[in-house]
Amino acid sequence: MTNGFSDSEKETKPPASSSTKTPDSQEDVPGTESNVPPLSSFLVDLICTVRKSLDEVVNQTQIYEKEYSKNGLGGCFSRIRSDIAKIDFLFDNLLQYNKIATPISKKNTVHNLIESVLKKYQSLLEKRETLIFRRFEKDLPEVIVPDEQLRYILESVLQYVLGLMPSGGGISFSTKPLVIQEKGDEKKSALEKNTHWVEILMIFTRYKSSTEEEKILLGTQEHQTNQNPSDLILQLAKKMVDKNRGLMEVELTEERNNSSISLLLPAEKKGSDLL
Amino acid sequence: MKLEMNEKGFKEMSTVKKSFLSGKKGLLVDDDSQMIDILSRYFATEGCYTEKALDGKLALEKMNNNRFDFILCDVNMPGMDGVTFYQQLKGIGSPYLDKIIFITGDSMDHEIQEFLRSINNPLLGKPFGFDDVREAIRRLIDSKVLIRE
Repeated sequence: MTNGFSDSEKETKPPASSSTKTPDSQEDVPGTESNVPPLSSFLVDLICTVRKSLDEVVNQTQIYEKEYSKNGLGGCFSRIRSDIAKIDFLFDNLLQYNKIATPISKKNTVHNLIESVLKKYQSLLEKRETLIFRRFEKDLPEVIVPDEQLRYILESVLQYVLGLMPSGGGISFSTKPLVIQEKGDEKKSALEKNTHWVEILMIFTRYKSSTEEEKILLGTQEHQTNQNPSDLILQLAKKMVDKNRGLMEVELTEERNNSSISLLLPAEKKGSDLL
Repeated sequence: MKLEMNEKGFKEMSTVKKSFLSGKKGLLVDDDSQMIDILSRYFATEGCYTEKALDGKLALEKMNNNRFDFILCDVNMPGMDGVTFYQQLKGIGSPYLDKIIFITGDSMDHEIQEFLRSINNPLLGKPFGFDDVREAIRRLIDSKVLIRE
C-alpha cells in the first residue's frame, strides 16, 4: 500500500460500509443516544394508559349526558367531562415537564456523525476507490456543537477534501481530546485557555501541487480571491466552526502527498470539571 | 487590486456556463455580510449575478431599479427584518412576493413561525449547503414555469 498512512490505523475498503460501525458505537441513530431513566418511561406509559381509559369514560359520558339530559342529570355528566379535561391538561403539563426535565445523555456523537457522513458519500467513495482510515479515541468527550451543525461541518469538509483527492487516495480520520492550559501554544492562541477540546483531524492524499508547501488560513484575503465552489463550501464550514468557538486549520503540504484539516471544537465539560 | 464584475460582464460570462442559474439575477438579503459574500461568490461560479442588501430596507431600495429572478432573504435581521420586508412588498402588491426564499436560523419565535406557516414561500434552514440553495431556487423557478404554463 502506497498511500502513506500509518498501518496501525483501521482501514476500510470500500469505505463507510455496514462494517464501518466502530466497536464503541452504541446506537443506531447517529448523533444521539437517549438514556431515559426507567422511571420516566414508566411514567409516560402510565399516563398514556390512564389517558386511554379516561377517553373511554369521556365517550361514555357524552352518550349518557344526552340520554339523561331530560332527567336533569346531564349537568352531572358535563361536570365529569370538565373534570377529566382538567386531568388531561395536568397530564399534558406533566409530559411536557418530563420532556424538559429528563436529561438526554449523548455518547460517541462525533464518531457516529463521521460514520453517518461517510455513509452518505459511500457510493462516491467507492466509485473513487477511496480508502478510509479511522483512529478514534475511545470515550471521546462530547462537543458542544449541535449535532446538525457538526454534521454540516463534517460534510462540507469531506466535500472539500474529495474535490482535492485523486482516485485511489486515502482519508484518515482521527479524534482525540485536548486540554489547553498554556498560553504559549501559538496555534491555539485563538482558543480560550483552560478549556477542553476535541480535535478531529483529517489527513488525506491530494493531487500534487506545484507549490512546495502552502498553509491556507481560511478567511484571509489571499484565500478569498479563490472562486472555487469547494473553497466556498469550506468557508461556510469555517464560519460554522467559528460560530461554535472552534478552530479550523487547513494544511496543504507536499510531504508524503498528505494534507490535513484539523477541527478543534469545544468539548462538553463533565460534572467534575465544573467544580 | 480588487476587480468587481458588473452585471453585463456576468451575462457575457454566463453564456459559457450551462447551469440553470446561468444568466439569472438574485438578491441576497442578510445582515451576515460574510454569509452573503460567500453566497454571492458561489452564485458567480454558476454564472448568476447577485445584488446584496444587509436588511429589508436596503433590499427594497435595490428592488427599485432592478429585476430579480429570486430573492434569498434572512428572516431575522436588525433594522427591517424578513417579515416586515415581505409585508411591505405585499402592501404595494409586488410581484416579487412568490420569488422570496426565506432563510431561517436556529431559533425563531412563535409569531415568526406562524407567519412562515401562513405564507407559501420556500424555507431554507441554516446551516445549508450550496446544493440546498440551488435546489430551492430550482424549485422556485420550476414552480413559476408551471404556473405560466
